Amino acid sequence: MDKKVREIILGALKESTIALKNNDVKLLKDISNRTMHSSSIMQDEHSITFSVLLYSLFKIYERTDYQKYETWYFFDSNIKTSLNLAFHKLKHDDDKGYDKVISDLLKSVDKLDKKLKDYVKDVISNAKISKASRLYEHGLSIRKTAELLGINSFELMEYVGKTGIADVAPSVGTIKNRLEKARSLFT
Amino acid sequence: MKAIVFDSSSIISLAMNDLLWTLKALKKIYKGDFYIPNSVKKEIIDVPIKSKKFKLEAIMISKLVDEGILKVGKTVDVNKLLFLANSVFISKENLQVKSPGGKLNILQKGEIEAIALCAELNADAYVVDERTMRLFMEDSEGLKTILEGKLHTSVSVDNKMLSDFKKQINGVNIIRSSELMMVALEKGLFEEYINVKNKRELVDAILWGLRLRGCAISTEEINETIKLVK
Repeated sequence: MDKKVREIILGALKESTIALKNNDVKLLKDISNRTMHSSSIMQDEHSITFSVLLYSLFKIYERTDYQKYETWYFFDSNIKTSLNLAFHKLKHDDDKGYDKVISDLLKSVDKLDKKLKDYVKDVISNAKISKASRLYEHGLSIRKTAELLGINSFELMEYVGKTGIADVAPSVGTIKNRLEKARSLFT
Repeated sequence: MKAIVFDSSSIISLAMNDLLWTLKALKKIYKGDFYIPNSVKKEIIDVPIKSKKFKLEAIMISKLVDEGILKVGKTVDVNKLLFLANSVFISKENLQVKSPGGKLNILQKGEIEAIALCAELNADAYVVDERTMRLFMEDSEGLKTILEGKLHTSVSVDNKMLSDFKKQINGVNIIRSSELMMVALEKGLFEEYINVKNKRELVDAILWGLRLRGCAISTEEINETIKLVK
């Protein structure tokens, strides 16, 4: 793992553990935003996966009604233990161990009861698309972005269409000229 | 044979607005071939057809391929072009982990394949709706400004790499699905709808439909297009 990426993830892991311990959802959101910005720039798979995870956690912990589900306690304690473990693995340069903790954490969602599992999976899927739109906004192409996040171009196109990203109008000829060019192909 | 090459983004915008049917009539008027690269076929047919979401769109696009409305181009080696394209924008700081020397890796192999196909077929146009690829081809300074604004660092353009890239692709014309649909409208393909709504409202509906499904057309450009409707 790149040294800079490691430092960012370690810092974010430490802070998010504190945020979860104190039930500070706002702090979780701030850490998530910061991580998201740096991962948009660095395009490293570790930082992208981690920023998606953090954003998902913020979205999940923000909704207190999820806590009524029977398996919430399992989910909550698993998140806290796993983030702690991930921090220690990374701190001791055990990249493989870190990757396994994060991957097991994502897989553990399948052990939740159906409704909570569906909610969490939905949140993670939406987090990926939301994150992807940020990468596109940062100047990466749709396909490059979809490839990095492992999502479908259809989903991404639909999502970015609803954002204001297209409104950054570049100075590429007038509409009149563009239409002329298109017309000339069909005469 | 004349040819127009489509990127996945333009086909997706058309599919999600139920406008794929226009391609059949447009191809007849054009009297040439419409192409998609093999990687685009994989992206918009082969992969989504296996999922529940967007399976229907994939089936509809697949029908166009089966009918020969969209031909699938052969795969070409694009490694050199990809290297050139992803060496054009250089950030002051070494930002991207896997891209040393500050090179900004912004395009993907599939996009370059489409451009390479345009060059090989000597295509009249490349239809692309997504912002980055279009700006890369048409307005590198505009893309540089976006990158600088979002990455919060100064970005330079390696003009030699850019000109080497452009030399290899013979300066293909870029159009969007929005311009294509305006041609379709002028050619009478939407005639049955004009009886119901007035023409400007129809243009507004088509362009916003495309924009909301990812076509990078600004509000200002939509309004300008509407004003041009006679």
